[in-house]
Amino acid sequence: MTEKAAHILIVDDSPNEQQYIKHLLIEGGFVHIDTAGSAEEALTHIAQHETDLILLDVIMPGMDGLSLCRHLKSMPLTADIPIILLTGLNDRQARIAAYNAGGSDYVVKPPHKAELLTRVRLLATNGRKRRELKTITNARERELTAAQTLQNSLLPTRAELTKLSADHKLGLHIFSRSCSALTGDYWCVQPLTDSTLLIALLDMTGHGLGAAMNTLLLHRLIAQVKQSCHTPQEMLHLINKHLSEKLMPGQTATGLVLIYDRTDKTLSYAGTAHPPLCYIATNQPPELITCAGLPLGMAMPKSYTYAAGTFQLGAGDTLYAYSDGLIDTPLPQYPNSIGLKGVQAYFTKTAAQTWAVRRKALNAPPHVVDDLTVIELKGL
Amino acid sequence: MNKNTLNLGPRLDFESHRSFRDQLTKALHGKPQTLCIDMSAVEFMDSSGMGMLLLANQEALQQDCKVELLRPHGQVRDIIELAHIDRVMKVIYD
Repeated sequence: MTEKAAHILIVDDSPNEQQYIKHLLIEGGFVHIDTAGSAEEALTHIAQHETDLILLDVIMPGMDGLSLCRHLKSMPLTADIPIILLTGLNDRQARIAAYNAGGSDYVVKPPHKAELLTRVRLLATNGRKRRELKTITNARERELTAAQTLQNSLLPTRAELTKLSADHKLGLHIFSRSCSALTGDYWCVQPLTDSTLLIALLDMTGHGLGAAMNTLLLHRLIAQVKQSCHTPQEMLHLINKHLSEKLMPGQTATGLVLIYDRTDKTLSYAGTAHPPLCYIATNQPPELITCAGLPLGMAMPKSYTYAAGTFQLGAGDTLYAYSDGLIDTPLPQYPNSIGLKGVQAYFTKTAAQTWAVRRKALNAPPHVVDDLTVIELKGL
Repeated sequence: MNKNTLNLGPRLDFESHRSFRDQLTKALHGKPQTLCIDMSAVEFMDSSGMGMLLLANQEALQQDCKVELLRPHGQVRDIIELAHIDRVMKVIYD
């Protein structure tokens, strides 16, 4: 698309001036030219039509050109439209006033044809590209919003979590925050049997759209493993089998699967390539439980053993599971991030924190460097 | 023995994916028998970085080339140990 296809609006209270400038532009090959006789008329036109460039007379009755220029530059939808200010004044003060108002260029009336066309061509090209870019950006934003909605729909609602918590007599808090529009962390809390609850946290390599798309795959895999597996180890093996067949080279995931049984208050786990669980028994110091192992998504022998175990989650005992975003992200009092080596000290220092305080601290950084999920399970 | 070395910068993460790919392509171009990935300058690696190392290993193995990770330290070493990377490629710490 050439600059000749740009949509140009001439704003001038003088019909003769409008027609003269329009004539010059038509001679220059431009075909989409509209006119407005006042600031109000211009605003109405811009709200209803595509506009790539505005030629704006400075001196007009009512709202003058400089005021209209400032107004357009203050509005997000029109701020990027280039504006050439037209004026009979040719002094330094007038030029400074034009640029201060946000004008992209300045032309003295009556305009010299070659000069006007040269400036219009340059800015019309910019304006056209701006509009095309905006169209693409808007489409991407709509797609991202749709993807966010889809991803959020995979998660249990607050009401569902509250019910699961009450049914299984288990304190259940989850914090999740993404470093981009979509998250590569996947978590779920789902009933497995009448007495057991499945809790999983898996972290895809990378961030953004690619990782987020893979969380949809993880969601489907969790539904499959629930049907055919009975232990966290079996679940990880099956998830790995599917991921190793479906993920692109270099894509992997860390994985943690927990099964809570309310009948005997036991918590079984299996994890791999995952940061250690933190178990805090009542009145005891935090204990780290390793979940080290090869990342999910790699071809592994069936004999491969994941880090796994079972322990009691008695009344007042707490377990924290988290993605590596917790150890990579600078937090209040941890400006250099916690790091794997600092996990024990972090949980020792924050063991007495209520969930509300912990949540506030996790929300404190203006941005996080990695997708961040923290799950707190508390025996009741 | 035919050996190429790939020297990495201070970060191996999502943002460095493209430059890592370019370096990897060049390093494997001469069909070396061993690809040494020098991690001594890497101060931070995330899960994307780990994925890149696994990808390098996979591509190297396809042309019968062994990968050696040299001198990972600090947070990078923690991640390598957490993910048992030493089970799939040789890691030399000193």
